[in-house]
Amino acid sequence: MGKALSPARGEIWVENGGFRDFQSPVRDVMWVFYPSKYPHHVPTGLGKTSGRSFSTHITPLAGLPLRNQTIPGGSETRALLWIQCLILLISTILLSSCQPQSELQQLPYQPEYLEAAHPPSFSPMRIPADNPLTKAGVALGRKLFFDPILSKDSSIACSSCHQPELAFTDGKAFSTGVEGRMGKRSAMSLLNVGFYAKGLFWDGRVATLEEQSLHPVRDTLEMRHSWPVLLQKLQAHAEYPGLFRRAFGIKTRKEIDSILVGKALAQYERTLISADAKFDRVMREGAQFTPQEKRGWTIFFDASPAVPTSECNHCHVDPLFSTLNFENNGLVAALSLDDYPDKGRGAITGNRNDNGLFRVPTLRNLKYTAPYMHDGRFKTLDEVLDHYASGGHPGTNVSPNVRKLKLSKQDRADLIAFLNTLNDEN
Amino acid sequence: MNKINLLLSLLLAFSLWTCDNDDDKSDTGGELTLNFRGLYEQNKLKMFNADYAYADNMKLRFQLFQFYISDVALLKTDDPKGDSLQLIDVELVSFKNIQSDDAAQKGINFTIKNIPPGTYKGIKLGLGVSADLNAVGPSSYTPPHPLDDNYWSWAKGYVFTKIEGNADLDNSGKFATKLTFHVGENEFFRKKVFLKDIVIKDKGSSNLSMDVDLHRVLAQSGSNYLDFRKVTQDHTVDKAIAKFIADNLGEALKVHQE
Repeated sequence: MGKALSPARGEIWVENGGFRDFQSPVRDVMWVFYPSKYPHHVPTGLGKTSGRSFSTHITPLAGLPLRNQTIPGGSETRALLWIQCLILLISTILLSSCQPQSELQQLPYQPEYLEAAHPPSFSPMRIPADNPLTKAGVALGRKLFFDPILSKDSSIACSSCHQPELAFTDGKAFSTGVEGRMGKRSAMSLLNVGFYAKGLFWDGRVATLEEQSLHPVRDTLEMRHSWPVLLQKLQAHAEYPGLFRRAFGIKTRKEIDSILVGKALAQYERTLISADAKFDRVMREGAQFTPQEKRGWTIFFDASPAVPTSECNHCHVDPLFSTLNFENNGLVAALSLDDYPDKGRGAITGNRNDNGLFRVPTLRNLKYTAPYMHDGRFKTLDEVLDHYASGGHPGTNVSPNVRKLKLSKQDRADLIAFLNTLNDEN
Repeated sequence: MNKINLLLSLLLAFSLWTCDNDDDKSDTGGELTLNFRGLYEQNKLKMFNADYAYADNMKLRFQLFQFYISDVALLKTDDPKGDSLQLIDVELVSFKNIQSDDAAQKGINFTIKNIPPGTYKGIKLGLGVSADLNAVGPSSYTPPHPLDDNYWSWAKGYVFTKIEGNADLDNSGKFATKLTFHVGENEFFRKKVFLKDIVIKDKGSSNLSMDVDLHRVLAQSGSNYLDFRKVTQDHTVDKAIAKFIADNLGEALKVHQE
């Protein structure tokens, strides 16, 4: 005799022959199988149990109820069972193929995969396994990036604060959001952001580009939108459902969600590469620094005792010209660690020693990224050098690498000449 | 049909269950944890949140102490050049986030699994990045990797050791003097050998305490120390300072099995 089983959920759920979610009678765990033709979309509500994924977003297939069951014993029935298994599988496939196709399913889903750029001297870009670059994904991300539909009143797009002609910054100390709302920090350049492996934003509050993309939409000082409303707009849009279909293989408009929006934007941002400045061409050999640029290079990297040190290279390490770490560079006079008006990294970690720390920004494309610092307080590179030459304000966690400099007028001119070789005109 | 559904469920669940156990099958041998703890003489080493007495009435407060270890191997014989079992290619031992007593007590752990059981004769390690690894820049490594950072492109090598902090030279309590000492370049790579029986038991866990005394890195003796009234930074420009720190680091590291 077989053993009676009574699964709590009591049903098998199948979606288009793809997702299968059932409660195992062996262990109290739910499993999901992701179909090979739908490999890049992890559904909303994904969770983890015992190392396996499960989802609550599954559509039931009628006619397959599972109630109290009995497994028959006897070897003579086993062969028959196997045959019946085969018949069931074929039936399932046939049933799936008989379902009426939605309008989106009429559109092709044939992802064309792209290789992430890997400029010489750059570490390889980390691409999440569930969001590989595709031609359609990047195109969708680009359209979303420049589309003000993402903001509450359709007045600003990502590109409003990250303008390509300004190295994906906006030229302002503080960016302006919807209804003229003033942000709290300066817009960072997005060039090479795909290589950022130590968190994003000035305070590193998110780990991935996929997640980063979601924040400005709901930030009340930026796009001030609500995700449910935005998703309704995208789902009802004349073009977007088809573009999401081509990018991610969705079958219905309802499948457009914030995760897919984030994925598309992340794919586009991973294509924003700046690696063809004069500095890069010199490093690749073939180009030459001028004597002034070469001397500036030596000062920048503290590469010779024959020139004064600038201390730049401790934090601005090539090829990104940032360690991507968080530092206090002595911008703000603070009596104690609790006195920083913008706590920066400390607001994220809750560690007092992180108060006043901000992401070290890249020095690439400085020609286009003024004003400088997280609060845009310096309009020119001369002002920046004045700050560092002073040694900055003292503070318990101010980087010891920020110290008084002894740079002559010529040294500063040479240093700036070198910094200008980091501008990528292409 | 319902019976078939149930059987299919069972078959699939069983296959997943068996897959899930693959990891267990690969667990053979024993494991060894290298536990690095920072000290300042007899005190626990903490970044930011502690002041330490130094030579000639100076006081120090640290923000960063880190160094690379590479080519870490268990010795199978008493001869350090003899047969050995490689445990670690390269790791960064960074005390940057050791800021509390608890964190200092726990230290920084590197656990190596699946070590063939037996009694090993000792352990050897490189302090710094070994020459072959030092010749390969960060572009070869996808972050996060110990060698995706701390690279001097101009010197084509990694910064083996970093010590950063502040000094109070006049007992004012202000810690106004900034200290930065960075050591790199192949000539300052040091090898360290500890001859001592290390027992690895099958399916057992062993622990090697690796205590490193930062005071000993800065001061060789009462009269031979880095005088922060005279020098407050060096980035391996002054080779004598780099050598002083590299040699001292080897002496500052002590090993004992718990």
